[in-house]
Amino acid sequence: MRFSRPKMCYNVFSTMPMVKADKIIFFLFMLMAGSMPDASAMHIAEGMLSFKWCAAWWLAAIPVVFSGLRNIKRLKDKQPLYLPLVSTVAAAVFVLSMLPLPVPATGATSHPTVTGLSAILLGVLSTSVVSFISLFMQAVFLGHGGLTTLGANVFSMGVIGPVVAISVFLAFKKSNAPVVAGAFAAGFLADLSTYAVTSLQLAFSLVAPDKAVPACLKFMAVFLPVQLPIAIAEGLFTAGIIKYICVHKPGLISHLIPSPGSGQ
Amino acid sequence: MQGLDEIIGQGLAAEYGLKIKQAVFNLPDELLLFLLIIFSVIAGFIIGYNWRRLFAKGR
Repeated sequence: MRFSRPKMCYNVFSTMPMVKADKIIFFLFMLMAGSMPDASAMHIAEGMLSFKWCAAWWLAAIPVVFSGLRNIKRLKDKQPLYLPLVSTVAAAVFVLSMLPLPVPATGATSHPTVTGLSAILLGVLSTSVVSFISLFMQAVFLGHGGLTTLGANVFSMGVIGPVVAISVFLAFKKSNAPVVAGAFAAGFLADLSTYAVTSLQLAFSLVAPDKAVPACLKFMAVFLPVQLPIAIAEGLFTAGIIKYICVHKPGLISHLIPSPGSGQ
Repeated sequence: MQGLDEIIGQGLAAEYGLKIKQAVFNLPDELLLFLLIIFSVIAGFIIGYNWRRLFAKGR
């Protein structure tokens, strides 16, 4: 399928009866919940960034989150399905961003971010709100991340990841590439860019500014072998969901992929 | 298996002398795991309910 012809897209789930899909998703989540190996800490933990940088990242993230709140408030009145979509994506971001996926060859676990998918479905501003809520709950109740580092975590996962994702998706759309390729690239690069920004945040906080770039590259070299397979999996997940939506409810992403009869 | 963020955190703490602080509520591991499962089940319900509203209703 191309961006201009959404009805032609083939979907791996297209043979699946619609009623079954929500039951399968529910059971998948039950299975995930039962198979979580441990509750090891994720995101930038409390105490890893200096106070100055914590404050700076909070200041950078808060305006985006407030704009996102206003955006949700505006769109929920315009589009009746926007709020259920926000709830669904928020629940998915909350669970999947704390899901420790094992990467066998490296002997470590890491987690997807799902903000690429969120950026395509909700937009960048609303994704920042979804990420803020997810990361706040994880920091307070589950010991993942921290309150002082929440601004940094929101900025990397909820702002930069989605900005990269939507930019890549729109670039693919402009080049009339298949939707699935655009969605895969968006999910893949949203994940990797989140970790690139995390590396940068750690480097700027821990070393002198002139040594920040080598330190950042060093941190990225540690993140990459584990995060790369997760990013590929996230790209495939994003592509699968977007294809499913293209087939069953193209109206949900009509702002990005115009329907044939919409005249866009 | 250890979490990637945890490995990085411990490595940086050792290299730069950082003190990683405890979470807001320092809950025991078993309780954390229980909460994780509860939150995941609630999220599963939210997704299942809204999935039906988004895709199944009005077909």
